[in-house]
Amino acid sequence: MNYLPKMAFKNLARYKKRTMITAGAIAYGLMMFILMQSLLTGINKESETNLRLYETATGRIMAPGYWEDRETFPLKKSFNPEVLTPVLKNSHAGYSPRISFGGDLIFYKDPFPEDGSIPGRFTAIDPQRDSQVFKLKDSLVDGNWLVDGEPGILLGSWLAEDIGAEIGSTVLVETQTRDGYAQVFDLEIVGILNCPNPEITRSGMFLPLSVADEYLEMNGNVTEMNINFGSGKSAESAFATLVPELEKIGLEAVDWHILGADFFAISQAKGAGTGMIIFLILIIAGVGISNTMLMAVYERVRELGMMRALGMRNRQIRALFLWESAGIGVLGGLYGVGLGALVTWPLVKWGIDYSFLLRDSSFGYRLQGQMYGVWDFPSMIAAFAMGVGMAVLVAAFSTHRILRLDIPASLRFQ
Amino acid sequence: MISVKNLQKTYIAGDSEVKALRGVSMDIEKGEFISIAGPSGSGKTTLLNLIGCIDTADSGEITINGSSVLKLKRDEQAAFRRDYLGFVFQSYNLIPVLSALENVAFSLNLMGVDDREAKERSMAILREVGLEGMENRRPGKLSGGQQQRVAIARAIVKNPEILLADEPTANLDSHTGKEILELMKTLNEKHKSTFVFATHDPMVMDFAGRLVQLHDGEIQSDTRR
Repeated sequence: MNYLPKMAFKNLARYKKRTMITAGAIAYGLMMFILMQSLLTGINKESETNLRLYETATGRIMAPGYWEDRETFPLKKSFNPEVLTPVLKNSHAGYSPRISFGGDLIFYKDPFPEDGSIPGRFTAIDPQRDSQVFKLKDSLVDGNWLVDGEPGILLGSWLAEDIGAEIGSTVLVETQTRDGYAQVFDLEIVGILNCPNPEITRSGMFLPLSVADEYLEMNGNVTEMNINFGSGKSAESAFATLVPELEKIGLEAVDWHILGADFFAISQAKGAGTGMIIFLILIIAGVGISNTMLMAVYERVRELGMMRALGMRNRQIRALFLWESAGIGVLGGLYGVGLGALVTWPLVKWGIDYSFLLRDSSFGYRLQGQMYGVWDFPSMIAAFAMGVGMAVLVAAFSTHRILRLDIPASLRFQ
Repeated sequence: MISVKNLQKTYIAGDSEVKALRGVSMDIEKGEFISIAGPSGSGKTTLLNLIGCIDTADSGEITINGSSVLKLKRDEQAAFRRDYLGFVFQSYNLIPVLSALENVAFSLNLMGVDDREAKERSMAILREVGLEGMENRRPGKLSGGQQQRVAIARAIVKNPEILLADEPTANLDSHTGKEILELMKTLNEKHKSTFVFATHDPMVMDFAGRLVQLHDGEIQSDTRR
């Protein structure tokens, strides 16, 4: 059977142009696949990191029913964080309490360019403990970090730009206390945040926990305790071990997959959409390959008829074409992976700046500024295997059609 | 050696039926140099294809060395063609990517002969057909006569019991055609293979030791010389 691969190789060399065109079609499909996979994986990884570092941590502990009603900011469903001390003290986790509440940010002309108000979500944080869980402090680009007990506020930089806020200006916060009474209080803008997570940059409003406790009359209660075990499966498992202890003291835990459900849902939907685009690209490449393969096979019907007349079995002819198509697939696969790596490299090194797209609209991804690709080696291996598989599949189909002709008809074929 | 009994074959061409063979019967002895002649559509190529196990008959029987070949399964027929038959076609049908030597060796490769032996035997037969020094040329670099010599070498290199040739001189000028026939006659005498031609070339008919004339799918005459 050694003569079959040798003959297949000679045939590939004989039809150089067609071999290159077919391999080129495969390579194009694979290059696009690798490029899109690299971008998608890069975006997802970065988004997941930013989601965890700036929004969800490993998970969150809340009072029963708070998560279900979170859109209404039910301050009554809060708890005293001290009840968690026995659970958390030996857990090796970073933890930090927060109060989330809804309200209006009100500002007036001079120093602001014009009067206005913005409804939104305010987050009260513990200025000392917050860095145990989140990286918010690293995002401070102007002004100072919050000081416990001082009525200051940190704003996301896009929000600050939108309302013309400057450090030192005063804003009003209009909200309700825990018992539902209207409350208005002044806060001085002490710092501006520019965070890799666009949700923070676009709409983040942070104040000290002690200030919120006083104005909202929380009596030391908080709406959430954020827990940081780091990232990965081990972190998730560690967080899961807290659940039985929390149930005993009447609290519930929600892990970051649920907290970031909007992102994961969008990521999944976009992944499916991108998968569809990749599938279409591969179909187009497949049609190209199929066309050239059919041409290759039909051009040699008489030759195949002669081979069969000389006693070559159908399975040997199939093997011959499989060798040829595998050769084209390997060539296309190598080209495709090479080209894919070539176009991915600048993405990995420099990324693409698409912040202009994210400024005014959210795509659900937790990333802003540079979008980086990653070296996705499993995808490259999969792409190579797909290239070979696609070529072999198409050739098998084409050869099957030819072998349905009887030998005299093959010998007469024009 | 070859026994054909009451062979019938009908082709469907569009809405009409074409009776290519209407009950042909004949015997061919080992080592014969026989020409099956007749005008286009007389059934000579069909008869050759049936003897060569590359087509199926509607009815009748062909036995070669006592075995009924029409009843063989597809793979058994392929093995039979590979081991016992040689084919020479009108348009040579060489494999364009292979050299003359590799084209000849291809027959032996199919039989599982190892590469070295296949090349030695192929070289010897190329010498016999007068193509020494041209063994590395590809078909595109050979004349029609030279290509047909390669095709004959490919057929004869495995010492087949039967060599079937369909219009072997049709694409050649008369001088080259005569050379090819003389070559085949020599090989017939030397290798003792049975040569069966389908032809309408009078020169081939003159060369044959036996001439079977077909007309409208029936044997019109059978003359031994």
